[in-house]
Amino acid sequence: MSQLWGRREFIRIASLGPLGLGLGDYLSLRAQSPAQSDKSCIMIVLDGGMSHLDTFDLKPDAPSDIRSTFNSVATKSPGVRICEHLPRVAQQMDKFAILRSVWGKTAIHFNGVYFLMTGYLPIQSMEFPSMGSVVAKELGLRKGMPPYVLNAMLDHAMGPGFLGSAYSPFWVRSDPNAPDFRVEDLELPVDVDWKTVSDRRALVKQMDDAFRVRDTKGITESRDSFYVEAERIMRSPAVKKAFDIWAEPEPLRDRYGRTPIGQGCLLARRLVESGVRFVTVNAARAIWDTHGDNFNRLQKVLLPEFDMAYATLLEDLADRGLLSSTLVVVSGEFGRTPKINANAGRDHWPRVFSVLLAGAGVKGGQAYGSSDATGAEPKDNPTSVEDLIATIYDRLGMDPRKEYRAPSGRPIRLSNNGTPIRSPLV
Amino acid sequence: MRLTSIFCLFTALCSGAQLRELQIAPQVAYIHGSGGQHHLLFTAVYDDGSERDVTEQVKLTFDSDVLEAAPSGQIKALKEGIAKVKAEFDGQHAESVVIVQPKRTENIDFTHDVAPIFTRMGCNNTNCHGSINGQKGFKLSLFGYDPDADYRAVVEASGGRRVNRTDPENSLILLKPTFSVPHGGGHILQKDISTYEYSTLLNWLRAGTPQSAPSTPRLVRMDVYPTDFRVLKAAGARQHIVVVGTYSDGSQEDITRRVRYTSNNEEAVPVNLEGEVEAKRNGQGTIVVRALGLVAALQVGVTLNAPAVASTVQPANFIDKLVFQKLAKMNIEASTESTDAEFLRRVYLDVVGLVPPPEEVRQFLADQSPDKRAKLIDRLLESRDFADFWGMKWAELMASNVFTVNDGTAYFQDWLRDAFAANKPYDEFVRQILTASGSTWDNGAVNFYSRPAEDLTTLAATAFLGVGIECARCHDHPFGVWKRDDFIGLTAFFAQVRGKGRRPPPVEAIYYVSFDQEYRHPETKQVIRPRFLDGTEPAIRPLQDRRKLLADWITSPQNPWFARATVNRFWRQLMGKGLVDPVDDFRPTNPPTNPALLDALATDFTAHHYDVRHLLRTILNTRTYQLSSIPKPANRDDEIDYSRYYMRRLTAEQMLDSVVEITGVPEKFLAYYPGVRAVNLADGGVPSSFLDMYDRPKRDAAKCERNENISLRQAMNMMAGDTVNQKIRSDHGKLAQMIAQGRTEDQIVEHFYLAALGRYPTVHEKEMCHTAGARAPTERAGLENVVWALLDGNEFIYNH
Repeated sequence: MSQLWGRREFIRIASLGPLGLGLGDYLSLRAQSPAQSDKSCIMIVLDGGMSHLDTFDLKPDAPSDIRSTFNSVATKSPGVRICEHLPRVAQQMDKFAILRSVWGKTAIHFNGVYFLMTGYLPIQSMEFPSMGSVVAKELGLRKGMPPYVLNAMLDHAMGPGFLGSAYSPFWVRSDPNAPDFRVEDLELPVDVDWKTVSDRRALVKQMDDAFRVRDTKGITESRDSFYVEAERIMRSPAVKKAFDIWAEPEPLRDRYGRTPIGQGCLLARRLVESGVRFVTVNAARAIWDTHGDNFNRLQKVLLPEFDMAYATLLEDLADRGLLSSTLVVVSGEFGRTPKINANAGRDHWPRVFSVLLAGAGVKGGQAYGSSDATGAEPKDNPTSVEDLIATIYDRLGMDPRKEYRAPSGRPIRLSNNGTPIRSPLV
Repeated sequence: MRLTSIFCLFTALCSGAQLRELQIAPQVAYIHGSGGQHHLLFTAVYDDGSERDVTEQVKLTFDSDVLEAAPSGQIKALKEGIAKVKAEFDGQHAESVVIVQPKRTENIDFTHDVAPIFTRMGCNNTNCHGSINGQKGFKLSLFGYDPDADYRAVVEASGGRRVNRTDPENSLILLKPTFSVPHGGGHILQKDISTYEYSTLLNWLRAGTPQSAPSTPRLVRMDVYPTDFRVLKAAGARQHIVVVGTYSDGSQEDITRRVRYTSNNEEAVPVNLEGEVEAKRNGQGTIVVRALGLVAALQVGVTLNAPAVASTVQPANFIDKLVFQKLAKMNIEASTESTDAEFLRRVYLDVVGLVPPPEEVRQFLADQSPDKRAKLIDRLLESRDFADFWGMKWAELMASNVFTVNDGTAYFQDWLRDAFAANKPYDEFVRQILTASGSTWDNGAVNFYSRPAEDLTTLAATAFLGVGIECARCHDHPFGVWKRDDFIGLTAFFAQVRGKGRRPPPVEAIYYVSFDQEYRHPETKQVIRPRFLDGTEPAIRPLQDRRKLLADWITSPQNPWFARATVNRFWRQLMGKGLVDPVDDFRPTNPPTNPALLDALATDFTAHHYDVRHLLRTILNTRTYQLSSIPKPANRDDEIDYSRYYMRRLTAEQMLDSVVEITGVPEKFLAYYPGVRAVNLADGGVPSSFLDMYDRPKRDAAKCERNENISLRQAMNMMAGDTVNQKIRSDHGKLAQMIAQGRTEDQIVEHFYLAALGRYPTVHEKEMCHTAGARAPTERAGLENVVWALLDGNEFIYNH
């Protein structure tokens, strides 16, 4: 009969963030998650919207005001052709699949990223949790690492929404390619040592005595448990090591490319190796938004950088035996217009675009689904963004049909009614 | 004195109240057919106003052989006719009438008899077959609002496999809920012919699953008894619920055992299938009653406390009276009054978003005048800081962020800030926003329009009416009230607004009304006439700005939501919990926890011409607002009746701006002049990981309530981050300054206690700081540790 009562669960879920839930509580909540999965996910967000017609879904026979100026070339996998400016990626074709019939609902950047990361369009009454937060909640901690790491300048659409800050990303706001790359607040300042921190906390504890008389919710214990966990993470050699990108051999760093996306992919590999469940790369730089000078920007900068980074990531994961347990997703928030505009660019096009999936059981060497002759609409196997998200959750060993309760009591399905793709993609 | 009177006196002294009256509800009850039954609710009313459900205790007699008594306060009809029910309890008597009419029909009717079972047993719940895709291929209408569709789903869908015509007892529709075959929803029904649900379903199947005749009367209304708030005062005490259904032919009958009951607070007031609410522990809950798309709610409270000591505190105004009344009803003792120090810090944070400066603290604590609190309240309400703080809150409510409002965010926030500074009457305020036209830079309010018409509908309904209409954008609201037509009709008021923006950025946009623009239904493309949420359609003249009509309707004193939703929002900001909570979710199944108080606040607000400062002043000057946050044992569990001040974590801006004031080191935000406070940032995305980790909203949702999370990130930041540490350490900061001025350790410690906590340190605390400081390598380092500890402690981080 317990399923008849919806409210208990919403009270439980809604109380995860606010005061009263100590670290112990949320850790045990996560530990009891049914998905005993060994999977991780690297999400490469091509912020701005990658042009599908010039990269992974070329239409050489389309009219000249639509087709790419780039040629399509054969890849390692017979029958799948991609852009000529992605030679290394072409050599890794056996490791990934191109989904050519993904379609979205919005042509606005803000809404598009939100939709891609949560499966919902933004509405004013509720904040939906992003994939990273959901994965953190469902798959839980591994090897003591923060489960969800966000490597971006903005955290828009990447947050926990109504799940609460227990599932906020561990936010690294620094460029892994920069010489001064560091994780904020992971290291003590130079003139503060752990003894000082310890003395300070001891004094706080004494001061908090006066507070106890008002503390009906165990705030003191909850906050204290976060300090204990924070110290564990900050003093953990494993965590420091995971972010220590300088420990990577120089030649490997070169192979990824000394670019934000290159080093971002390298850091992501390092993080999943250390136990992180969900890492993002290259989010919120809007560089793929080629309204003008589309072909030059792609050919000169975007594609060469991507080519090195992605191909090396796949190879590196495979070499380390991590590809079977790591899902790599490459997606923008939409595609770009088939018709080339007056500025030799393409504008936003959500009606069909391409997404790459690799690892975690995805069968490489194929193009799943197709778009029509001009790359304007899905043709075979249309895949909504919700379906994409459902597929991602499915690959990670989660149940995409699982429901959370928003604080209002409304049931929210993880993938918003998306259906995971199985054969022949998997 | 005679023994009986001694006994009565004794009882009266013990219970504290005399039995004044016995009530029966409903006063007139209808039963259809002999053998039919009706629940009645019997209530003992005492002279102190308290009520007790005595349904199980009354003695019943009848004036004829038409009726006889049945268990649990039910009446059973023995034959047709009219009869009086006479009840007696503890010397009090009452009467009601029961009319037994012939049965309308002997046949089982799907809509009348079968469909309600799916609601009652929870089959068409949101998690089960009522969910958007149903479950396992079986889809019922959510909570049974469409019995005709449900008929098709049961009888015709999936090739008719749910009914077995040759062997009705083995129909899937029976086998599944009785768990005779595996059922994901569990064992719902007893396979027992003596139960109403099983026998009705079986008999309907045996009758060949007849459809309802079009002439079958439909349920159009539910009356739920009790109609007022009841408090149970003993563990295990029960409150019975009686539900009477009215049908489209005017007939009435008892549907108490045909509806579904849910409680939103099962820890305190769980309810069973029979509609009996049990007192489990202290608290209050809403019981929602559902049948066939209709919904009703009642509230039940529990207090297991001994009657509270009568308060000697004089109410300051009508708010206190109504709060104290509720507390008395719930036997909840209020906490004592806050100390001057507690009050000072709290009122500063709540009204202007900052901790009080140390000089203020010294002065206020030394001030002996009896009206110092009231004077302080007035001064704060008239300050510029007040306007900044509340302007920011309302910018959040207006979802003013750079993605939506682009380069108008600063203008919008300025406009809002100015409105609070000028104490613009709230109805004028809303009217000016709704009817704004022109440049987004010249008239900040125009920025409201920088989003599509449908988003404006949600924003206006949520922010100004507290009504959660968003779901109805795409489908009729599952909880009953709003239909998609409501959403579409409201959108038509906004649909004529057009905007032109100048490119490239910074974007100044001009919004204007395009009078020849009609709003069309998204699918049918029919022209939609603007329609208010109460279903009325205003007459629209050509070249008339429809938005003015909407503004008139919203701000009208007759509007059922505007005043109540508005006062509720302001109340929530100060008191920590709305009378309706969440504040943007006014609906019949989410009633106010103190309806009389909400109505009184709304009435007072309207009578004072929507004067916001008056509203805030009235609340701030109450005993209720000024209660201590230290609980009494009897009020520890209270989260909704304001028996003490509800502590809350400082918001992101309160924290950062206060840290700046305390340490004397300003924060520099990207693209803002140095010294600009966090409260004046015009967007939630101005880079600041500190503000983000303390739940600064992104302003993409129309709300000004804050999350209060405590997190790992905050801990890391306090220990290792720059924000607080650098300010404490700074050579230009207050600490360095005081050391350079040669102040003593004692003076410095006292100063920072006053600055951070709004009070003097105790002797013990001074010693504590001295000892702790001595452990550091230098005196300065020791003092830095003290300041750090003050800013890291709960007493700083919480507003109490």
